[in-house]
Amino acid sequence: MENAVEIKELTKKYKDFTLDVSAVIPKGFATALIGANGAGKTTLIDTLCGVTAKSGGEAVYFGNMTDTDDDVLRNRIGYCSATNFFPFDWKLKTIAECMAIGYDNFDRARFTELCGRWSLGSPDDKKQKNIMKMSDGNRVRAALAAVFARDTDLLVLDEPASSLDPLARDQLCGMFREYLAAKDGERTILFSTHNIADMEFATDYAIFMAHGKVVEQGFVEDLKEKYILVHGEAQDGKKARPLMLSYTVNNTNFEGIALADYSANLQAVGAVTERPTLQQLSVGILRKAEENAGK
Amino acid sequence: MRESKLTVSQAMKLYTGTGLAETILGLAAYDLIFYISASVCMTLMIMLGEGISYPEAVRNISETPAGDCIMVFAPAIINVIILLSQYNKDKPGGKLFRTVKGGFDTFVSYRTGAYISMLLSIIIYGGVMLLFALFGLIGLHGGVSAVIAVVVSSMAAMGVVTFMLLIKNEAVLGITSVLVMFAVTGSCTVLLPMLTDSLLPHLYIGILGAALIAVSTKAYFSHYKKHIWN
Repeated sequence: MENAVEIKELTKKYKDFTLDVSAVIPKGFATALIGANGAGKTTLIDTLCGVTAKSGGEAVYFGNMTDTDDDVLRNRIGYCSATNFFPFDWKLKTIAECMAIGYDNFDRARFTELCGRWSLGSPDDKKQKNIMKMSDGNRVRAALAAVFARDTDLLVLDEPASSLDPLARDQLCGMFREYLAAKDGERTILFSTHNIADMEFATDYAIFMAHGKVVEQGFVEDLKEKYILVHGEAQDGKKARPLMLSYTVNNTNFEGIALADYSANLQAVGAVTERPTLQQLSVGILRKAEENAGK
Repeated sequence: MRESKLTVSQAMKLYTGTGLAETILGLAAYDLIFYISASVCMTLMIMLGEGISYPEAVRNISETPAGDCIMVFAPAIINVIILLSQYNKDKPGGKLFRTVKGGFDTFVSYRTGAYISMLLSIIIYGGVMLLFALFGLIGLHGGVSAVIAVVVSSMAAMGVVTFMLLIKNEAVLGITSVLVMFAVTGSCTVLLPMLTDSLLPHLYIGILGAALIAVSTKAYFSHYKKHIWN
């Protein structure tokens, strides 16, 4: 398997936070960056895209590129931040003109088509709203239309789904598939998200982050084989708990995740085991990471 | 590292949505419209208040430095806004501009374009004001001396405010830069015509302003790249 990006002990140090990440982003797939607020997702994305300078380590892009100040690499990466991507006084026309100056591979016709698809209007319209007057959702749509209108090899999107309604999230998943399929395995997507359930359909590979570090990563299908969802009646919880990675209990039931290797043992103590969804997996893995951090 | 250099005008267009020539003319037009609106209001108030004619009202205005002060307002406000538009990462567009062609070099080109725009627009503004003053259309206490003082003191103020961009606290920077801009341009425009009939001090202030801009922008770019850009 080829990697679009290999992250080797990449660090970014702030006064009260340190990012220290080693991970891979497989080529040809959509990778989700999952973590709680403050886990370091945005810092990692910004560092990978040259928005923030790294303190140490290295990221190797497309096998041999390392310099984020290289315009060839800049043109191959399509980056979009979570908020305030464009100045507020810009209109669709300004976005089209400025993206064409800022990048070599911006396709205005494609941008116009995407704006139409998202019901934003057209950059050629006489009367246009500026970004400030758009809803949060439309601001994100405009930014996504601009970044998808570039012929890039790697899309890096910070919380692209956070301001979108469920239908728009579904459309975004469709656009991910369309983007990946267009160059048959040559394109890659990295995105961070809190809406794991909505974006599960679009996620091939997942990187889980907590406290600036990667706590788990792998193909979603492999992770669903590696871990199991465990639940049962509260009275059986005490026996199951030592075998589980994460555990929550209320008056009647308990739930958590465990390694699939313990499936038989857990069933023997009366617990029910199931294949987890990415959402359940995320909650379990991140809860375990929080517990470990608190120790 | 392969970097493609954008022209100053392209960088201006990328950052602000308008090219260099468009920006220069737009700023000069804004300065003029602001001045004309403010001075017409003031002239009308004097005409109506004292029941005198337009030429008499203009003459009255030219007996005090009030008209000279109005001339300073528009460029001072505009210049502060432009100088403070630094597109930091947390501001709209800040992250986008860190990923465009040329990266920091494009930012330097944009800022260079911003200084060129401020200087040329104020020279155009000053030129038109000079014509107005010569034809007696406006009342200026300091006459030609005041008009030239606006141009050269604006240059000096731009240099000083550029140095002040090294201040980290945004609130302090915002307040002090406005104060300094108005203090430098206002005092020079009012005081220079009063203190001397010669235009030599204007020349000195102009030279000082140019030197301040050159030194302060160098210091600013170095500081910005090291501490703020990424």
